[in-house]
Amino acid sequence: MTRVLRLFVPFLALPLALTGVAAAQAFDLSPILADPIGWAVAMTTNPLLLGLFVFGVVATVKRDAERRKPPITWNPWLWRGIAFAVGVASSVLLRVIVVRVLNRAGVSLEIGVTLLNGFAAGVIAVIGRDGLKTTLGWLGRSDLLTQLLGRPSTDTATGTETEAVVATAPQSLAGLPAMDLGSLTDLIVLVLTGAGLSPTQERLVRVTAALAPLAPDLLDGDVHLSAENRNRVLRVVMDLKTGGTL
Amino acid sequence: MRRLLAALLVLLTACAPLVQVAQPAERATLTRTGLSVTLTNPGPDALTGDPSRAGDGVALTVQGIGLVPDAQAAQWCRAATSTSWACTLPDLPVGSSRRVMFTAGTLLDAAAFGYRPSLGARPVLIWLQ
Repeated sequence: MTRVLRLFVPFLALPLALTGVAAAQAFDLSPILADPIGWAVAMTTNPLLLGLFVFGVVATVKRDAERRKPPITWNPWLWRGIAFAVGVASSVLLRVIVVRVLNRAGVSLEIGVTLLNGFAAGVIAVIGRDGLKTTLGWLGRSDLLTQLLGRPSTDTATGTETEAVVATAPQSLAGLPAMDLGSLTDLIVLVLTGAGLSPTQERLVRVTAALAPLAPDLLDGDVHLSAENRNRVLRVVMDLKTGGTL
Repeated sequence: MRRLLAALLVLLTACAPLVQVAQPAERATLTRTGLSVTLTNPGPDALTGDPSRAGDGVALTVQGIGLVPDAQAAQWCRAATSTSWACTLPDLPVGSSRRVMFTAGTLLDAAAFGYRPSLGARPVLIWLQ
């Protein structure tokens, strides 16, 4: 039990690290810091957001567990169960807090809505890995997944599940329209170079992360971006150019 | 020999983005005069937004501190962050130009992102000169 508890120790360090990031980096944490209640409400009312958050947390714990000596390798379905349980629990808990403690109007505590949201958050926390894999594969950066989540070979003792996941990524790629530019990475390289910035690994990762909301626009079957999203591309790159010194 | 081939391959891969960056035919310019930026399109064809999206136009991002748009710019632009304005300019036919004016503040940088019918989905990026 203490061994399991120790896994979560890094998360005490996480808020500390985050404050350091906020102070030292160009990352814009202001929406969360300026409006924590709004952020909590957004997490409560948007199971997708919460599910992805829980997924990220569980994936980090899992990766840490696998790096231990000796590594803790649990059945992947146990991890999925943990992700689901944490997703449901945090969704319900957040909702209760938002309604009862923060007295936020417009958020309902009706049992059906609460459970449905919790279920959705749990499901998304479980399928987060495959979703992320598909997105990163589409971005042409499947190598990032290995960096983010660890090697898939350690994922399963049975092996079948991993193979199924690997097989789905190329399929989703094949369904995409042929792009003039190849992928979002190429677009980012193009914009970065145009702005006089060399496309280093760090910049690519940073810009790709900042431009993740663009994915649905590119996946809608039309490779043109909307004016709003094109402005977002310009903004992210120009912010990088000024080094967040504004 | 094998090493030479590998080096060549790496070099070719590294140069691929550069080939894309070269926009040899791009003649549109983005110039700055005081607190205004002007996007000029001398051709060869119109500078547009996403043709399949109604009301879309050329994206123009202007960065600066304490910028206040004039009446026309206020119609095209909205503040995206405290230091940047995101504008959607109406399509620019050949030979036209659009001017975005600010009445106060410090203008730091600007860039435009549009498409041309002749280039399809290839992005047309115009940086401030």
